[in-house]
Amino acid sequence: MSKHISELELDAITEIINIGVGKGAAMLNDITEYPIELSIPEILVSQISDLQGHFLRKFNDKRLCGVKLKFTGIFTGSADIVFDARSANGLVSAVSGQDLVEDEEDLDGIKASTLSEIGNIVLNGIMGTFGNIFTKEISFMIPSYFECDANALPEQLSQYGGDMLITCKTHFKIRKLAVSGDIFIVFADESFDFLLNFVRSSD
Amino acid sequence: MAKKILIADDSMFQRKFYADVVESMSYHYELVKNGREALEALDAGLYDLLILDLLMPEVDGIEVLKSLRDKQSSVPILVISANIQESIKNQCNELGAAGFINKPAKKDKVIEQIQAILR
Ligand SMILES: [Mg+2]
Repeated sequence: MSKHISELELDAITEIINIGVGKGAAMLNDITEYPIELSIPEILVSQISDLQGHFLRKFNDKRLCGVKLKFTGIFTGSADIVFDARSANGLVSAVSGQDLVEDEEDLDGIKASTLSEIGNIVLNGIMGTFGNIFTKEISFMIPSYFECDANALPEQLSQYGGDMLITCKTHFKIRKLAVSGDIFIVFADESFDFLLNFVRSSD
Repeated sequence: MAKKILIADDSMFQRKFYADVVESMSYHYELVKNGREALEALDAGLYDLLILDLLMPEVDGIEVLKSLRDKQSSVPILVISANIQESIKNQCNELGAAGFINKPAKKDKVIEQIQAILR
């Protein structure tokens, strides 16, 4: 690992992510009207190959659906919200009022557009918090919907990351809908350095 | 005697921030990093206020609130959390929290709420 991050620095960055995710969850709570259970975010400094094993253990052979929000400016990277297909269908059914059955192709359009909209709101909530904390402008691309399997997920998440990925991940649950999902924020190397410098200078 | 405040947050960064705020108000404080430690500290000593985070490992803030309600504890509780869902705020309120501040908490806001609760 080339980066030297002290415990206090890692702690501060985790807390910033935590605040962002809290804001995103409050927005998801507004949309679904169900409480969102949050977990404590984790920061991983790793290589793509390390993540592959992790995702295979976690998701097995499940089909995954996600929404990606790329951002540039003082930070470059992407924020992704990822659901397994069952959770994605459950969430879309609850929000759209449509009864979705897995693999039913004519409903794919509804699923993609509903998830994109949910993803957009939640991910903007998270990244908007970053903008507020750093009082700097962050530009967002239009969110894009994707489907992949666990094998392809690291590749999907790491479009800006290079070899070494700085991945912030957190898990959430909507117990009443039996929906669970994950949020990943991957930073380009120099963006993470900026974050680190901010934390160091505000000590 | 100066009032004593128990600060419970799993983030070192936040604990340090609250400690600075409380010190600037000339209060004493004790720091703990999860809900279990908070409950132990409250069993062992007397505090005038608990500053409580919600998302913490081992025992979270909601469990602390429930446990203190069950024990009929009289210590006032100021919740400061990133979990700002309306349902969570209501739950804290129902469980007897005296105040709620959204993270990131501003120093002025924390001082104002502490003063209002300890008045
Ligand atoms: Mg916390």
